[in-house]
Amino acid sequence: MGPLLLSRRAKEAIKTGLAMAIAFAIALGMGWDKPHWAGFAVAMISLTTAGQSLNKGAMRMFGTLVAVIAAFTILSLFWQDRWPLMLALSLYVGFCTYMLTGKRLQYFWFVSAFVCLIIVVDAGNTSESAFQIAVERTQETAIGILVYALVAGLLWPQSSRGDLEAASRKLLAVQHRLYGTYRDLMAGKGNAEDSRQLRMQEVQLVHQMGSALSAATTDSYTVWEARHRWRRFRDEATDLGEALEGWRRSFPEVRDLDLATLLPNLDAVCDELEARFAEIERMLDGEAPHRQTRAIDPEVDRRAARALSHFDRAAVAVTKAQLDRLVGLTSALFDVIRDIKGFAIVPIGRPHAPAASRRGLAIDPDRLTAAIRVMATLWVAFLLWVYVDPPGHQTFVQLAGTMGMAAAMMSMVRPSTMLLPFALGCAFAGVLYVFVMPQLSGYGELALMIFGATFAIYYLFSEPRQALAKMGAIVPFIVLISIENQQTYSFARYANSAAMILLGISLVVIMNYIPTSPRPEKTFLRLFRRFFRHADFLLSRIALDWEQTKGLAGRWKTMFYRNDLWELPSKLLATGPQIDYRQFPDNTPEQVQALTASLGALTFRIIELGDMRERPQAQFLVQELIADLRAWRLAVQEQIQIWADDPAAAARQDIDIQKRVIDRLARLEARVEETFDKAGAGELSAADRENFYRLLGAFRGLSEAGIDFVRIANGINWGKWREARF
Amino acid sequence: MPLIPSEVAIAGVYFPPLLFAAILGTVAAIVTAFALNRYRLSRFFYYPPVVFLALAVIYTGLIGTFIIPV
Repeated sequence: MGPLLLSRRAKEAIKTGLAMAIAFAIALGMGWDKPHWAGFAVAMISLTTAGQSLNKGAMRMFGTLVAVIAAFTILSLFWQDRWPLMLALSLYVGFCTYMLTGKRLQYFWFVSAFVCLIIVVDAGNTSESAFQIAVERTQETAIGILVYALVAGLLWPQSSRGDLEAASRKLLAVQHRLYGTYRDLMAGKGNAEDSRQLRMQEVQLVHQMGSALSAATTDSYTVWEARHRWRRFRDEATDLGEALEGWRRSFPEVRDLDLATLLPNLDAVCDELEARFAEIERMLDGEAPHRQTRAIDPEVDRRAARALSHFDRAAVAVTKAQLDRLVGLTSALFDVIRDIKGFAIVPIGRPHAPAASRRGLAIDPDRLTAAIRVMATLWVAFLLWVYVDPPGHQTFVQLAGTMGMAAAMMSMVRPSTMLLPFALGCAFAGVLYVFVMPQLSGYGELALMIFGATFAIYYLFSEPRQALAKMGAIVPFIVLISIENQQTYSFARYANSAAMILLGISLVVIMNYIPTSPRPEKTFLRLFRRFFRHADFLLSRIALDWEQTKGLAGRWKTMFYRNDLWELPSKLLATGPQIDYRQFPDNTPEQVQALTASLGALTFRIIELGDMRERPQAQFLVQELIADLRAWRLAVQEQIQIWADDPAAAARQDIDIQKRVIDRLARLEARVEETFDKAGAGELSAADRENFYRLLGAFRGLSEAGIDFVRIANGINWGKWREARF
Repeated sequence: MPLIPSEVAIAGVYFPPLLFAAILGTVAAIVTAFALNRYRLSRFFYYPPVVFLALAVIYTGLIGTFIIPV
């Protein structure tokens, strides 16, 4: 008989089931109240690799400790005063919700909010037990994490190092293919649509590699030792993705130019980049590089460039800057991978300045809305507890708050979709509680049932896309079977707890409609209008004669609008696929994706224009051209205001706007020509000219991105999206 | 014949009649909302989610008065 071969998902399900049974056994053996808290810790931290689980376990543990401190602080400040106590608690939960909707340490903030909620609300009911509740919660969480860590470490240990290396190889392979596609695109072969799938894959792989790195740093000593280099690799690879995207966006402006003449060593530069990608991939496969990087700089033929129009010279300057960036980033990636793989010890220089992206600390309005919604949910649940006393009593408040936070954390999942999995989970737990558990005798039999049920849930719902179904099954199972040392059975208790779970989720569903409809098409329209409002504000700040507000408020406002504008295309991209296209057959997912991509291009151009505005410009050029640039800017702002008020207006302007933009650019071109002719010898330095060309390039890029947007918006049926629906 | 409120017994467990009236009221509101969406009549309401809530309450009241006394 051959060895027993188990699939990875079966092994993971066995580990979780075993850890759950052991955690319950310890909690019951120690005589702790609420042994299901230990079971919860196991259920929540169980992930596919030891590193991922340990990271999540550490966040759960630290989150619990922070929550205990926060809970004691709130309780000690407002011990006898329920309204200030609730106010302080809701503010803390609101703060944590804002943090958990961000990109870092989401689970830590989630745990620190709901554990604080549990302690404060439970202790508020029976004040003498506050310390006992906090200690029990902490020790049972710790035991759950410890048990799972031991089981995961001893039984079929699964390291994340392989995942990290696989994700890195895939990421670089996709970036290499993107580079090849873009090189063809620059040479006039293919079209940008061909690369869309690759671009989306690249974004996913960057995220996947980040998660794998964080897990592998925990469960692999080799990765831990080289963690700084790996993080550098992650950052450089992310920047490379952005640089490739910026390079692609500059193609429309150089489409009609003879780049082979204007950039004489373009082929050599592209060949060198190609060779670097191949060598990096080779090293990631574990082979030594065949060659080193060669220093090469893209050169511009100045004589050929002088024959071009000013806008075309600007476009060449932008392309050269993009190529410079690619050369620098591939060289840095080559060095860092050579070091990680041990082919050479290379002193790693300073990281490259990232491309235009988020800056500083600014509030995200969507995250703030989510935080306010959770606070409102908590208040409504609290008032229901005080004045109506729903099933579950204080547990209803804890559950509604926790579910509200979970809904905020999974913002792309509609809360109403939680109802069915949790209802089925309640029914499943009910069958076990009513028909199976009364037949069991002793912990051995109970442990078998716990193991079997947990194994079944984790085996059947092992895919990441089944996470909601898994939670819907395991949470009611742990809560409703009410395991205690003195086990009693009460159908009324089961029915009340099940009703509490479903009512708590229903409250979250209702609160999700406040203040605005959560329907994806409405969210899309709301974000779309906000995009143009913010674009309008930022464009008003790029006037060459605009004095930057010295005050903190002015700077913060600009930063807020800039950061939000930067984030909006990705939010729109995530919202688009959720629209029910069967209800709106006139609009296709491809159209919406193209529309979002055109908004991404607009964002890039507006941010680029803002960055160019910050570069020093020659006083002479500013004086001469300020009126023309202002006229251009005001015309663009007027257009943007129309789009913000009525997206359908963009659709009505298709041909008209193209003609107007082309006329305006031609007029601006003539004025620039005139001004440069007027400039005396030595009045403009090479840097002045380059800065001005890049500014002009950004103006032209924005105009063309606007035309592209109008062309795509023309095909969308906006009226149907705007109609009120249930 | 006057309708007298009484609990609903299922397998020996007594449930309040309001629970069933509310469940049926909500189901009726879902069906109505579906039909209003289907025939594009929802566009005549300013904020449909509040209308849905109102429909659920009205249906629950009607069911509680005429079908399952609460």
